[in-house]
Amino acid sequence: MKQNSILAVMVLALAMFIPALPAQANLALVEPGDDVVKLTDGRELTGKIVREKDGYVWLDMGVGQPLFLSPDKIKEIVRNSGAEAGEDPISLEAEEKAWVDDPNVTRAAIITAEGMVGMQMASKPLRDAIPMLKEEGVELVVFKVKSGGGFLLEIQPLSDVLHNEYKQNFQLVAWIDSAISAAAMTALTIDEIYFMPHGHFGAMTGWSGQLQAMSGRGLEDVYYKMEKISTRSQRAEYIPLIKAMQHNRMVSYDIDEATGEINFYETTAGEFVLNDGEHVLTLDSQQAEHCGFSQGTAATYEELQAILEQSVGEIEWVGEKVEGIPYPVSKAEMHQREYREEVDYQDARFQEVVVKYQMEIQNAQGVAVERRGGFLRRAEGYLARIKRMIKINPNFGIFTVNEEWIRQQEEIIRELRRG
Amino acid sequence: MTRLAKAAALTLGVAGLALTAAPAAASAPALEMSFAAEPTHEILLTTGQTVKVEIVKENDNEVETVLWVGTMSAKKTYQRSEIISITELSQTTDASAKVETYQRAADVDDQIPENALRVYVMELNGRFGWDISKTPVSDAFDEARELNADVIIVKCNNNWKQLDGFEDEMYDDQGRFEYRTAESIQPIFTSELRSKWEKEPKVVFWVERAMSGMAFLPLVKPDIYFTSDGRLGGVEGLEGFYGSTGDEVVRDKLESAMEGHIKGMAIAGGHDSRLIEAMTKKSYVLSYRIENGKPVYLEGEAPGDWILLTDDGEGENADTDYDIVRNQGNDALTFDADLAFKLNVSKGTADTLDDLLFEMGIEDRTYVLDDKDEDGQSDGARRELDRWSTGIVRADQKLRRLQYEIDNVEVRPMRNDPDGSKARAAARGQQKRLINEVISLLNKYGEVLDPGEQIRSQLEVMKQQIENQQRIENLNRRRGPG
Repeated sequence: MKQNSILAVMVLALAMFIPALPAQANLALVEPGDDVVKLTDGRELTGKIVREKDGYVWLDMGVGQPLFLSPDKIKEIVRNSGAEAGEDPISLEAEEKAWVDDPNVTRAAIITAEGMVGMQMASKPLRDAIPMLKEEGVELVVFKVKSGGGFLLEIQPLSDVLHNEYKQNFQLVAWIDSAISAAAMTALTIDEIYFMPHGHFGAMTGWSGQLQAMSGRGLEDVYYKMEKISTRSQRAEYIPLIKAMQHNRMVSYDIDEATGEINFYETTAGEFVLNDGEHVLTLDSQQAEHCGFSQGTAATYEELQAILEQSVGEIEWVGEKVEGIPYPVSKAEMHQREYREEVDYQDARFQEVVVKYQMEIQNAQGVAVERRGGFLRRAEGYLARIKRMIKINPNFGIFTVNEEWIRQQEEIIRELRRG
Repeated sequence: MTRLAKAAALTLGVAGLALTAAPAAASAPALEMSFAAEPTHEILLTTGQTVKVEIVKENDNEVETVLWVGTMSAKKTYQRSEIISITELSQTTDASAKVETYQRAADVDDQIPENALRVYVMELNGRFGWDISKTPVSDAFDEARELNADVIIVKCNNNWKQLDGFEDEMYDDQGRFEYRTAESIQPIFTSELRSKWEKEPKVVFWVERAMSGMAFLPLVKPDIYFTSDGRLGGVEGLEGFYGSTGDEVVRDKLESAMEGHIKGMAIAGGHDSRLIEAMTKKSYVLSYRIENGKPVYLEGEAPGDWILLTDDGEGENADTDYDIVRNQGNDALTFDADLAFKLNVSKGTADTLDDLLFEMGIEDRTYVLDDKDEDGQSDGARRELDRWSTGIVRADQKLRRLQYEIDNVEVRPMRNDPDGSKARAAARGQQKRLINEVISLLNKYGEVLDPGEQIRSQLEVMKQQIENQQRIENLNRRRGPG
């Protein structure tokens, strides 16, 4: 190899190494007054933000022109003006607490769970949001669901976060926009459920592949899971209803005129038939309220507030008005939205990145060992991106690209490099 | 050179000529414009640079500008793909369509009596899910918001013709069960009114043709009127949507979920959800009778004064061809004006805008916004919807052409290129430019042309393949074949 080629390789190696500097090392270099921009690729850049527009940022790093960064590259901005280097931004903001703890007012926030269960709707961002909710003094969380379902395997983690963590810290109610399949199973964790007028809930049949229904032990496992989750929300009496949402089972009910008590039957003998056994049940808002499954119907958060205030007294909503969003947006809610945006973006590109990775590997396999360097470096780049995606959400490519697969790929790259 | 490659070369040559000719033709109207003495817009580029410009002309792909640097100016054309945003600097120019619109709006505002109801009228016509899609409807609503509309009349008139330009219409059973488009558009009429508007306007649907997937859209609101020949329905097919694929219980589940969505839309609009079942399921039997002026429904068939709305479509109940061609079938429900009025789905029947305003009881205090040509439709809405329709037709044609061109880029011999590597690199560069052009089009019209972003994703991979071919060739050239 010529000397300048060696130099070029070294420069390239350095260039590749610099972005990989650990976060702590970068933070240690932060000067007071420097802002830190954390990038989605793991890098943290420090400097002074000299301009911002629509999420785009110009960061003056003290050398040359300010660096331009687009929103898709930015994970987080830590503004350190006047703050100690490396200081936790959340604790800084906490000092600026703008709310008063009034025992006569319940502070409430809406948290949205949308998209595919296990992808956009996942336990991770919900858990992340708990300190944010606490920081804003939230006591009542409205869990607004809009999802057509998704991975069965995420139901238990979601239910666990809601039951073991949210219910321990907040009063929790569900507000159903659309809760289908795994999303409905998740929402069953919550004791108090309200619907939007167009809301619907059910169709919880487990399936895979070419519309193949779950059967055998897998099916029993789902039934059992539903029984357990229903118990968490004191909804054991609704089990006939829930079974009809899982399978073509009959369900009807009576309402005792004297007591208002509702009794469900796994037949069509009740006065009100919800499912004749030929279909799978999805409840609409009117059915849900009539049979007592929902505690009320509200089209807007103001209507929901009017219902909730009957039991909790005056409610103050936490968050800011954001154009295009019909309710106040708290920090915790903003986090859910950002998480979903990130997952959306990565999800749309995941297969593409995997294919590009495979192409680089094939190219490397097709040339002599001494010529593989460039292909393998790009393959490593794509593999790193796949790993980052999985870090954002472990469910990316869950059936194909798991940790074992990544280990295999790292070994393949090593082998190809050795020749 | 292969015959295909020669043909491709010819195509490329013609395309190249056309491209060269285009700016010259396009520049003619630009010459007629008087350039402002200062920049009117700021463009934020993907490089992070901002430039101050006057916009001379825009199309789907390019923005032709006069670029200002201090007091100096020069013509400069930017690709849409290079631009992140365009911000207006002042209202002093009529160089762009947007500014033009606002000025007209201001003109119109001056003439409106203080106590008038500001009515914005838009007609959704063309193919549902193609001409009628979320972006143009949303843009039209944004304009209505700029004009502070109190009432928005949405005339539904989707294309239900057998052949364009002829009167014969499709039969009700030729409709397709599809709700995703309606579901994607409906927030504009519901939640976005609450979140975007300071004072929520009243949205009124006026149905001439709301057939197939369009049928669900008006039902999200309580205020529906029909024209005398208006029809809403043709949307049977929920049952059996998945054919015989997979297990029955899964098909049932998916149908149940879809039914949940569409029933929810109707419930939110204040309509009886059983009507949705009657519209979408051939096996669903529904009867009604009028009690105290209001319809009462009964699932199934009953004697007495109950009127059968839909039967089960089985055996001798199945609609005959005689029924179907005369729109007299009752396997699935399609509303005409009379039935819709009888069942309180429609609040009245009107064939002209004046009649409609009269039916709504607001004819004497209405001002139709932005209707300079007095055709009963707000000009801005027409412009937004037409612009989308034209754009998407052009984009579709262009995509086909680009696909052909990508597949047939020719490697043209170049000077001082004994091994042909420069020519191949140039051809690859050309392919990548064409791919970028396709991606730029998909970024704009993806909601219709590539809703799952699959095409864009494939193109990204294709670009990578091309780059890899180039890399391999570079390696071989530098070091000899390995």
